[in-house]
Amino acid sequence: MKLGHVLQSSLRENVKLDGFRFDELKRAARFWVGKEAGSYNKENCIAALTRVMNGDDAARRVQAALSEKERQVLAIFTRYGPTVSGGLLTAEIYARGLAETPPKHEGSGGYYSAYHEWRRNDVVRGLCEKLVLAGNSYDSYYSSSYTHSYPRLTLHPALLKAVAPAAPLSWSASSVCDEAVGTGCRSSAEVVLDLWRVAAALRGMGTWPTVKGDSPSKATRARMRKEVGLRDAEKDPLSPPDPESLFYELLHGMGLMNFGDKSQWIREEALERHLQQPPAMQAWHWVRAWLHLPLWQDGIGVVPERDSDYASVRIEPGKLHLARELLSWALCGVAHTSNRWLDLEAFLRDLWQATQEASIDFYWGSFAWNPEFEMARKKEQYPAGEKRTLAFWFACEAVWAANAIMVTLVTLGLVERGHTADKKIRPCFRLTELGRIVFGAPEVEAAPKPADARFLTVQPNLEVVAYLESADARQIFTLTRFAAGASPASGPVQTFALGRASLYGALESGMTLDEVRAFLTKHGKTELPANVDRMLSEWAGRRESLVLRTKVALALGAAETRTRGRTLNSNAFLLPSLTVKIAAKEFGGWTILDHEDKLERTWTTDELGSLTTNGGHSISRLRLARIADRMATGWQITQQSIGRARISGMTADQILGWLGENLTAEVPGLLEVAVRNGTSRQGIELSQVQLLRITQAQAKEALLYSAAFRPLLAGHIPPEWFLIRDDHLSELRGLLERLGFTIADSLNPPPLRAVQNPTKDSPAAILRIRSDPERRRGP
Amino acid sequence: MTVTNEILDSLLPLLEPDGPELHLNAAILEVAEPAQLAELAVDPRIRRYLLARLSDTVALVDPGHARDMESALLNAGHTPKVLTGDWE
Repeated sequence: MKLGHVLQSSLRENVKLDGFRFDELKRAARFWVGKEAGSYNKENCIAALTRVMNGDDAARRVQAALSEKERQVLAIFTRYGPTVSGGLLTAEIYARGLAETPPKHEGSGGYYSAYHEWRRNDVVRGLCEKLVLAGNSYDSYYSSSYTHSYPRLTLHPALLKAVAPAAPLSWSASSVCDEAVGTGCRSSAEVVLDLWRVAAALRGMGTWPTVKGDSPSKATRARMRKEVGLRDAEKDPLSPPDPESLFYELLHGMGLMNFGDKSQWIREEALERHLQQPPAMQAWHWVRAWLHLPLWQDGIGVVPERDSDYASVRIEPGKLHLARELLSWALCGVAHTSNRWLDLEAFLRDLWQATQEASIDFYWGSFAWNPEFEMARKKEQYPAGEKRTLAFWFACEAVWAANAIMVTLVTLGLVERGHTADKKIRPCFRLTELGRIVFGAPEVEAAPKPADARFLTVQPNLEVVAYLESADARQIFTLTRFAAGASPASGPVQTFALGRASLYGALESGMTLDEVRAFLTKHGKTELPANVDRMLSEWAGRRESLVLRTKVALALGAAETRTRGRTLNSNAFLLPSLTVKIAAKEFGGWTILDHEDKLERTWTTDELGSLTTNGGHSISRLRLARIADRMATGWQITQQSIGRARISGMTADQILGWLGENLTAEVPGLLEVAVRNGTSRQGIELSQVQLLRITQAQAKEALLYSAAFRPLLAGHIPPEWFLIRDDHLSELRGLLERLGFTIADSLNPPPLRAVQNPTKDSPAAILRIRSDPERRRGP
Repeated sequence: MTVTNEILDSLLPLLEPDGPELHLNAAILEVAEPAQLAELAVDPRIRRYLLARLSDTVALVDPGHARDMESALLNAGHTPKVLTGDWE
């Protein structure tokens, strides 16, 4: 699979001719159509341009009319385009010498005329006027008014094949290092493993709390940190800050997440497709996603999806995108030169020089790793001018670039870092083989690698030691399908564990035992231990011996009606799946039960669980037999029958669920209580008590707060009932008589009125009954 | 009748409908040996989702609980092969 250029853009802009002024259209028509267009009016210009631009020989016509310089500009577009961003176009135009350096404003009187001369000679501007290149007018205005950078432009689609793509530019380094020490880089397999672990942690969550921009919330980040635990900047400044979030954002950027109302936000199939691509293709997608990451920033970590005019909370995403693009452009040049170690500071100075007109320009104060560049340390000592500007650039933007190269791109396996071997230790770097392929595409291609690299050792204790440097990213992904990571770790040697659950997961996802065995044998440095082989067979065998078949059709009836099916017993057959429509046609006179549909409701019950059924199917009868006792007149739910169901593993909710599905009316409240009592009994108390009723408010209050009465009372039932201690009844009577009360010898409470059962345990409903004014007042 | 059959009969009666019935989108649990079915049927975590026996090695899952059955099997340490629509 051939990679495209890592900065290539397939974006297309539509040229709307009616949006141009007449003089602009006329100039373009003269170029596309010929001199005769000089006499056209606006409508004729539009009609002629439309005809010619869509004609078959548009490319031939235009090619002949282009100058050599213009053809070279078009070649940039056929290399990166059809659309090329302003920053990239500017860097390319100057690097290829297709434009003069703009005149500097030094207060001299000749500046404006020099500037206008420079504009007039600008080859890109000329191509825009001819409508060979087109862009968004908003971009064009701001780019031309304030900087010397070009706006984002698109090559006219008719000319895409008119010019061959430009040859790659090589990087002209001002300083290279002969050798480097303390070097370090990561294999693509290590990166894939990190990406996979973050994806696996997220898959385990299904969905997770996010903040604006679908970025992980603090709690999600903490959980990812706990479950994945990658090495971060807090432990090592040359590790990325919030590394799990870097991989989260890469997954997001590559479109491997789907935020919505689904229960799983990781797009499993898309992730699998990505992980099975060749390593260079995977890395190419990582870089493409990294270019656009707004919510994870190099050397900073996770940033919020907002900006503030008063306090910087992140690098402005548009500026960061431009900076990443220009850095990548420079690394593309590096990929096309000999693979020497580059002094980081010298490389960044070269980058600044090469991109001055496009400008990596933003402000941020603190990065996880600060290389303390020499120029930055002395920045205040420089007088106003280019050197001072560069020194300040080294104190900010260059520190970001250093973090991007030496941390982010190292983490992604694209850059190898080290430091110079001389006395003055300075950081240096070079592209890894993977980095050269990604940044050197399409010219630099991956050399074919043997598919049977022996990179693992299976140990008798069921552990698999994997040497990631020798492994292909795809092979590591295959290994993770049937072996679990033994512990959160990173590094070139990692341990995995073969287990029943992990093998089961692989078999359920479509791998076979033979494929697992073949993989371990093919990539094993040693033979597969016999006991491991036996365990794998045993685990796979256990899976084969227990099969859960879903969505099957079952015929329970006379055998002769079956045309095709598997016999389970003389009266039960497993059939190929059927639609309800076909079933109704082929099985006339049969009761058809769709297990995914609602069952016919045939049960009726009273609140004491006396249950009758009107006909019904086998499911109904089987369920009844599980939760009720057969009686002469029907069925009865009893504490014994509920107890029996409970012993067979049923819960109260499951029993009530069956009642709810089969009863023609709602489950009576009392029956629900009985069912719940059958599975966990509620304690209640019952005994005889002496009651005193006082309805007169003042007397009731006086009694309630009286010190003389308190020892005689056992309780108060608001608003008017008092419980009397049995052994103090006569004493209470005497006291009441002494206080002048007339005591009636019997209580005649009114009969309890019928009360409608409120919606199940609704607090609002209960409150309604309690506050019923008639009940409060009494008869 | 073997001991296993007796246990099975007491735990999971054989499904014998009154008239011919066709069950669509049903879920069944299939094992290699009757003893394995008996072992599953005595486990309340599994039994709660089983309705009846279709043979000595096949049981009918309560409608609407195929996923619960799968989870229950996994939670109980079993590793069922899950097939959808496959009948052979």
